[in-house]
Amino acid sequence: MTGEEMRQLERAVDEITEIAKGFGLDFYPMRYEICPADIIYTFGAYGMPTRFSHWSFGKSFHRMKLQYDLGLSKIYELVINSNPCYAFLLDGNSLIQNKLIVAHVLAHCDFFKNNVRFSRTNRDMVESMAATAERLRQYEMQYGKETVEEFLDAILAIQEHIDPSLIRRHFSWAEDPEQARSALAAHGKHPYGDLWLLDEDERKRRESAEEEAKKRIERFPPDPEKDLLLFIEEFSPRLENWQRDVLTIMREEMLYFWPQIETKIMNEGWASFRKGA
Amino acid sequence: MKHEPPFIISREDWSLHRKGHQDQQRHQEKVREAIRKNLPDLVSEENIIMSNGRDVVKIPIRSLDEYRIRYNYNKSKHVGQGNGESKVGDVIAREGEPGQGPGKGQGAGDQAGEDYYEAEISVEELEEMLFSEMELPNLQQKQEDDVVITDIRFNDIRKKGLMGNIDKKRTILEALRRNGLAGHKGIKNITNEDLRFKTWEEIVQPHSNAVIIAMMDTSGSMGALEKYVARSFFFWMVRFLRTRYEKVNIAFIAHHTEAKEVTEEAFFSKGESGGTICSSAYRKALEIIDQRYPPSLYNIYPFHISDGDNLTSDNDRCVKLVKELMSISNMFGYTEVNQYNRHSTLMSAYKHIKDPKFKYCIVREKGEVYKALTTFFAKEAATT
Repeated sequence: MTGEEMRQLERAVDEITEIAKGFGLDFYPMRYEICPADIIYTFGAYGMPTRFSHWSFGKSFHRMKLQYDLGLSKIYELVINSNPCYAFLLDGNSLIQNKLIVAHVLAHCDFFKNNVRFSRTNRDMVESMAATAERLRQYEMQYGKETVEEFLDAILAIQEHIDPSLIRRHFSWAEDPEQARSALAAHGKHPYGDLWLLDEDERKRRESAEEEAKKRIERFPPDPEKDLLLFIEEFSPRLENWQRDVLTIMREEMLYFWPQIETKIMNEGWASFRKGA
Repeated sequence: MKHEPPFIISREDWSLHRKGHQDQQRHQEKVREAIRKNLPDLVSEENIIMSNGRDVVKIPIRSLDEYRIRYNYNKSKHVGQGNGESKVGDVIAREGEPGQGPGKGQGAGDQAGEDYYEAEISVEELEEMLFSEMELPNLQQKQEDDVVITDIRFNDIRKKGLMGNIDKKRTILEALRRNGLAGHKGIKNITNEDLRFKTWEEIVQPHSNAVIIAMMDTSGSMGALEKYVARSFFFWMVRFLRTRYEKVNIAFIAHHTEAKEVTEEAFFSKGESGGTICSSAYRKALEIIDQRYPPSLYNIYPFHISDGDNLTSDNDRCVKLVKELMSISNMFGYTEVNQYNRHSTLMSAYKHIKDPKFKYCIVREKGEVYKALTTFFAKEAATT
């Protein structure tokens, strides 16, 4: 893209942004980035420019890129749900294509900003994923690539088992984390739970609570838990610290991606409809 | 207050962003690992043997899907559950026995096929993996080992040289370039400076030769499996020896009660009939070696594939001839294809041969071709 084309695009974007505001679209400040195909396909495969490395992303990158190379698919743009909102445009889009794409992107951003499903997503995810990717690299150096990869394999298998509900409490069967923990203690499975019993007052309090709890709670957890990742993270007796950390990371990322999966069609629909307007 | 612009358009240099490619490479590594683990099955894979070794082959690999919890299509009611004491590797639940595997068995099935991940791999890569586990046994210094052949190869370009070796294309290119720089189009005068010549290099290679005497029983008792095993076994063996020797000759001998030297095609497609007298093949092998492949020049590898159903009265003669063959060759390999653990007359005779050059292997099914190969070409350290 030459400097002249760049200036033309800038003028066009300026105009489109004004029109979109006129229609009442409400979006974050935009960061457009023009990048070559293999970069845009990398982002597509990872879901985020800064996400951690894993072979399964490499696999889907390869498959998507192959389809592009064979002319079977083309990603014109990629929008990230963040503030400011990043939009990646494929290098090689013509000016007229880019005009249409920019209108489309603005509607996407409006959707991200205002749809209730996205109301609790982390808008700084780009930076936060970069930080976690860095942390994962640290773990790889510390504990070995194979070990970390094996653990990632395991979590990726269950990563969809989170609870994306907007009115989520900590656990669906407990009011707050403290209650969940005491429920576990009552169940008698906490590795250091017995230490509490050294304290006289605590023991008495616990015993009475246990009596009560035993009546209520026969098994643990009392109700089936939807958020598998959270449950394991909180209660697994054998996770090491770094593993627990990785688990938390993966859960956060999944919670971030979930609304996108959930609203994919509506999101595209909104963007196409607005673009048409 | 700083005013934030509503949009920024930028274009950065992304050329150092290689994450996708790196992870793709890791995936590729995992594929390769999976292939290495599946070598025994792949060795007898039909499309490799039939590809003549030229092409890239597709290999189905099942192990590279990401693990997922998915719906149970067999609709059983419960999920698998451990009792809290389970360890890694425990099987906590199994699918109900499917009546019939998808796409297998008689008649058209009604079940969906499995999704295979297909890896593309060239036969060369596969060879490399396979042969890294193999070694040639009993290599001997042949007396003609110091015989070398010289070959010439044109592989360099110079400005001076013999007119007969002029490189026309490069010369014209040079002229075009020089004229182009001066602002002239087309081919104008060619000057001495434009001339380019091909020059050569002498390469000296040690001369090494190997010959395989492939002997196969084509008596009435050799069925389709026996043929298949023979075919894939010789396919890999020839390729293996080719990586170790500059030139590998193969002589094909088919035998029933009498032996004939045949072409490769006939060897693998010959119909079966008649009884079995193995000594006829050995005698033929000795005759061929005597006529064409003097042991002083060649590393000789006789291999015999049979179902072991030899005429009992012939066994003694066989043992004698095998010993004679071993005295002039690097090793003698006997492969017996014995699907049902029959009592084999030939094997009972060979059992008593005690010689490091004599190696035998019993193949019961297709997948064991790999076992046969590694038996014959095992690395010494591994066998002791």
